[in-house]
Amino acid sequence: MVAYGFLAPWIIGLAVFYLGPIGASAVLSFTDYNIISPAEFTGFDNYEKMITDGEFVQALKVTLYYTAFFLLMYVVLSLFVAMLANRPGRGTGLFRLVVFLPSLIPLFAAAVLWGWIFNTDFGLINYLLDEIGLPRQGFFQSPEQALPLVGMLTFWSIGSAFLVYLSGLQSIPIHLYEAITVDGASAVRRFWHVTLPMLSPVILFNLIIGIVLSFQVFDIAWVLTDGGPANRTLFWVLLIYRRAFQDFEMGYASALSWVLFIVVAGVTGLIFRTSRWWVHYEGRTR
Amino acid sequence: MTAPARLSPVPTGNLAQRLQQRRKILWYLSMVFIALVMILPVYYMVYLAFSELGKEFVFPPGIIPDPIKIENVLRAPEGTATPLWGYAKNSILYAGLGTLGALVAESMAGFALARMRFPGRNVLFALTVGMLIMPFVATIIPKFLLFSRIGLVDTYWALILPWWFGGSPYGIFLMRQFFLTIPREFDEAALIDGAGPWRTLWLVLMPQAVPVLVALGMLHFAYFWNDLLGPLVFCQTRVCKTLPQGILANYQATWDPQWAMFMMSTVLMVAPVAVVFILAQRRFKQGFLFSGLGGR
Repeated sequence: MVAYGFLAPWIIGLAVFYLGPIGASAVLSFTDYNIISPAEFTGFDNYEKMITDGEFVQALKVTLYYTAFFLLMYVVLSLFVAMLANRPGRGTGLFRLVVFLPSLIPLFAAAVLWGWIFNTDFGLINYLLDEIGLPRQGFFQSPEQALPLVGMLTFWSIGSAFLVYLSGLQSIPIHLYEAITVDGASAVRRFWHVTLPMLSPVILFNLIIGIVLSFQVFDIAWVLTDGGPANRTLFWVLLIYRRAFQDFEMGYASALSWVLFIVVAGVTGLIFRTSRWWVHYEGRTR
Repeated sequence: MTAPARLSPVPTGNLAQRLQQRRKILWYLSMVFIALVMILPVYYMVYLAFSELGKEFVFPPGIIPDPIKIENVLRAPEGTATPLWGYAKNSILYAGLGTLGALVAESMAGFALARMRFPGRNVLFALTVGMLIMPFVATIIPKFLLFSRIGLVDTYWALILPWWFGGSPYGIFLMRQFFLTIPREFDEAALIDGAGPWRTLWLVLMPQAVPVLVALGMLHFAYFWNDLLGPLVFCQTRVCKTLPQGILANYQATWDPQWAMFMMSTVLMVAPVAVVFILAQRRFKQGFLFSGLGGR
């Protein structure tokens, strides 16, 4: 019984701030509600509206595209950066610090900074392109370039995934490497046969966290691109924010956020399902 | 890096040494390259922060700003439209009280899940882990409606209160995993000395958890400190707007954005967190490593 005392805050929090709201937004998603007049039950109207709403389809595409980029940086590239930092040698301590440092900069400030660096008219990059005689680029003002650019810039936010990988790498027993090296394995084989399997639980962790993070991208679009140009950076959460807190379409916005929840839960659930095929837990039989 | 190694899996003698040498150089070069890529925007940010107003974007830029305006450090907090002190106070309250409440609640919940047997424990633990993937935005609308009904919107409480009720699922999970690594003998010894679970947690287990608490606390603090969406939804008035909102408001308030002041404001906002982070990471390395492993 004492246990419930210790857990009371969390049980209340779970009910009031997690399960309750998720249930409430499910209910709200079947209504038309603008806060001022009482909610009106409208059945599946909001969901039907979603399918035909060009902005939602666009937000879905944009968010998935961004997620692919983000995962490439956060899950794949950060592993290689962590492997670089894991070799003993001078300067690795400083290197770790330098890789992590940009992750401490708030996203809204980073967005303004990038906006300046890639500014079409007065930016540093276009100045440099001019100097070496290459054509200027539109960057954030170009419908073709804006989203890939936002995606690439996520390279500077790999810090936390990097640290997680680093601690994972450090806990791989050296003798496994020694054994496979004696057998004459190349660096590539060592990577595939020791590093990857031993690291797979950590990869799973970063993958799940990365998915949850990337579906919630908001700050850069809010501060810098305002979803543009031509809705090319209209992220899902930006759309929810606009519908809920600018248009006060609480019912429709609830439907949008419920589907977001379902998609994130579905994707992470699928990954967990497949994880038994590729995640290797030391000391545990499959 | 790998191609030459494949030609001769077990290189011997001179060749092996040369390969070793070449790998090492390649490794250093990649590190230097990535470090430069990583640090450049940070450097540019600091560069702009110390530039003279109106002269931030003189091209070509020098290696250091010319002239270096140290007095920006004092001018930026005064704001170009509204002073930043009020926003800073709100941010400190949000991040400080949020972190404190979350750590207490997470330790309590983690302790109960790690040490006690009670009906529903497995269900509760599964729910907790399940909530790890709950996107913040998925619950934000009902939370907003609830808070506006009970009059908490535009007060700090809308931001802080949720964290006092259990903190984050990640923190609970992490604390549970940590308490599982402490031998039960500690609890049993405390029990023999007449301590109940409450005192066991606070006097016996918590002192051992300091490195993990510091790491988790830093994680929370940095999140609250940099959070934009939360304050944007729950705080629309001056009494509770936070630093990100304040700095952005200043930046958007004038026709000329005053880049140097904006950058200095953000540098001043990041610097304390970065310094504490670096010091804490040195001092409590194990805690940070453990937090990294929290996901295993």
